[in-house]
Amino acid sequence: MKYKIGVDIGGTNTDAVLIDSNHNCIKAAKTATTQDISQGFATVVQQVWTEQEPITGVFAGTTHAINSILEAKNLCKVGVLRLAGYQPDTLPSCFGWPDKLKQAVLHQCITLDGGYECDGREITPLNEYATRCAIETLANSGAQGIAVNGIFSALYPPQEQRVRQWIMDDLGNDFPITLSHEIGGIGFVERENAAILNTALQNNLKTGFIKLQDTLKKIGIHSPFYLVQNSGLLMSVEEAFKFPILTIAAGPKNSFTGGARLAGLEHAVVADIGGTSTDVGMIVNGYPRRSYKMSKVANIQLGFYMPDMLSIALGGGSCLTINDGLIQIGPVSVGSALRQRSRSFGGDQLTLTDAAIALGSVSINDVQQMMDKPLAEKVLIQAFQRVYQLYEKMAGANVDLPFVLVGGGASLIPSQYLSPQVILPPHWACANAYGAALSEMGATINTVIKLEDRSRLMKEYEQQVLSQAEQLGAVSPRIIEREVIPYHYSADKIAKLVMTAAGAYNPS
Amino acid sequence: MRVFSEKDIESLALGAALLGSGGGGNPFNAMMVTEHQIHQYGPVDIIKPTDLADDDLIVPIGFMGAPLISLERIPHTRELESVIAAIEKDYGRKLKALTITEIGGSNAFTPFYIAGKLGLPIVDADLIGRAFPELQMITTTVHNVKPDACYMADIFGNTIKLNCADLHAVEKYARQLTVAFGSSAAIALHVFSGASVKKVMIAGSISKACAIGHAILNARAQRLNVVEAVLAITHGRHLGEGVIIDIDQTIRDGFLNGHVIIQKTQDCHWQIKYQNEYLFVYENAKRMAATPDIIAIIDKDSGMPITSESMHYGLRVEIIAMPGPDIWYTEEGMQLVGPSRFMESESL
Repeated sequence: MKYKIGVDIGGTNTDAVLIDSNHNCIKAAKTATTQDISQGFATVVQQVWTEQEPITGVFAGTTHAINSILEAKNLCKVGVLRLAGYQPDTLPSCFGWPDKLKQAVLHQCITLDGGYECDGREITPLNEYATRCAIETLANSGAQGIAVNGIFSALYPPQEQRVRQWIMDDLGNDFPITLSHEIGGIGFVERENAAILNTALQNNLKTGFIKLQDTLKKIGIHSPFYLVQNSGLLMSVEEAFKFPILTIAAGPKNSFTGGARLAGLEHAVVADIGGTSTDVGMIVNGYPRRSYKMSKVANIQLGFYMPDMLSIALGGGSCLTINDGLIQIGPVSVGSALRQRSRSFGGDQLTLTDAAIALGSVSINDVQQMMDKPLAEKVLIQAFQRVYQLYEKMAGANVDLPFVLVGGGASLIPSQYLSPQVILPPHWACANAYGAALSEMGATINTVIKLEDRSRLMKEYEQQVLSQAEQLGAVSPRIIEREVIPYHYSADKIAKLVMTAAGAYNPS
Repeated sequence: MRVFSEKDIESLALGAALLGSGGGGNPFNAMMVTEHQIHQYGPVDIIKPTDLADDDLIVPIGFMGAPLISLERIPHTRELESVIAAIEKDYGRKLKALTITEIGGSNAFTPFYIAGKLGLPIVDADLIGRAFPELQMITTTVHNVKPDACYMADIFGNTIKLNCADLHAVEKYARQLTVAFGSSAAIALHVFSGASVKKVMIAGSISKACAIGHAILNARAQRLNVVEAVLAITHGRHLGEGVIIDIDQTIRDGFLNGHVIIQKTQDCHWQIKYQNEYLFVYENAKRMAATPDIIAIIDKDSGMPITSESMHYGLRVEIIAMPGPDIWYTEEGMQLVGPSRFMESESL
């Protein structure tokens, strides 16, 4: 028997599970996330693994990148090269970003000749001399990385690729660089935002990911280590060095897929009830439904696909305010300080966990019951109703969909609400790590095709992407994404093609 | 006169998106450009048509082309300034004010890109009162006012003057030029006197859009029902709600044609047909609303109006219809933009 380890490094807790090749959850562990994330990582991995269990792979989802962005910490200064030969100045780089983050990240933006029209004509050709001078200016004045963004580069990448070569000529192969077309689609501002943040994260995340990799070696696990991407697919550590921004939404994705699979379901609505907030998502055919609204992180538009998600500020640490029988739950939470600040633990703040303890739906040793039962029951009914409202919104017309509850706060929901349709699956507290362990290996092709050759090209690319996925270790991969975006304004009828193939990871 | 400042931007964007009836483009980039220009050049004065002298020179300015381009090729302001400069040169005098071509969608913001920089006020009016797909679908066609001349410019400031017999001819040739310009061009369809503005333009468009946007923001802040707030201020009616389960769209002759199916229950679904703008709403097979009514699809969670190019499977939405400007319900108006004009789309 071979095993896999899934780890979820969250803002509050780090979870791990060990699963066998039949996807049974063998062991689970949870600990508080540590300042240096590799410590908590080491703790949980050691708790679930012994040398008797041979490991195929260790898969981790981490909030490291998203927290760096939210706290504007450990980011490097990024110079921006815009390829836009008509020299627009109506939208400066990082416009509308939170001040603190902008100050931490943006070094300087230089607009250069280049860019394309939608039909592939160059707005102006690149100017090699001016571009090389700009690269030198950025590096000499203290830029620690460079993001390159050209008009319509998502459809026509060659100019950005030439600029990367010039940067590498001058600053070497290790200098952090992001080409916007490699991480974004149409949408100049969103693509540039993502490219800048990606560049800013590269150095620090590289250090963090290497530490996790080294930790595993020290523990004695020498099997491949992968990170979970926003899409739910695995990414090699080397890829993650280049594209750390692609790891920011792995957390909710892992909880939703993990929750549905723990309950044995391919279609379900899943609630991840944490300490501070509850996220609700929908699983269709085993995958999280994507949101098509513009994704925002720290109030910055990134233009990524993220899991379709509804959130409310309600979790185990939510503070309770009770006035004349009127109960207000949250939005403030004691978060990770639950065991210091909650009344039942001797603290000063009444929380949702106190209500659950009073009602007996959560049993913890050596705590006092701080609420009377009827009140506690009213509080928990209200909490469940608010979570259930998200289910109703998410499910829409699909009123028969099961509702799966997971996350550290899932047990707060009184058992009387559980039914064949409202499910608390086994290992509910570690659904996120279980979701990480189930992550699949995949390959993506992102290219521009001529529509007249569409059917022939689609078949060719299907074969190509399937064999790429197989080479990476995916077992009997299938096409999970096939998107053709016709570009109707161009003369020769072209379209952008995005195709992804994926399968369970099991390298031969 | 009132002053348009940074705090009005979001209201205008929400109102403009709602009045766009699904078309006119997403005003996201336009909002940011306007915010940047107001930071640079200060707030913009908004004046009423009645504040104008009859012989004042006024230009409605906007962008023509594919809304998609504005998501990628961020505007300069040179293209707009070149149009203004060419007009001032030909007419031998300075403009008194700018005004809006189309209040629905991102063109609601276009004059704001240069008003502060050129020190010009913006007249609270527009030529449509919503958004429509074709260039001649503006009030001057109903009033039979021929364009004196049209001016277009590209991002480098290259300017072209079109002396056309009517707006149908302008639509034909300007559409081709726009493609040569990279599928988006700055355009002034008319050069108006103050007297013509008072006669042919729909007055109060900016105020109306801002009031709608303000109502949405207010409802959201007070956790009230956004849809009810919109219906109250627009005298609209609620048609239905549900989840988008199917979108079928094709691009034909430069327009986004298609339909969307919104499911309420197993037995009840809504179908909305569109050509850039939402034109017809059906409940099962029964027509419930049609152009020139302004049809809007609103995201249930955020209260945001959803444009036709950004609709997607699984969105939870509300459908509403609001009365359009009176001029479109006259005989001439109905001929130009009424249901019969779009029957081809209806039979899609």
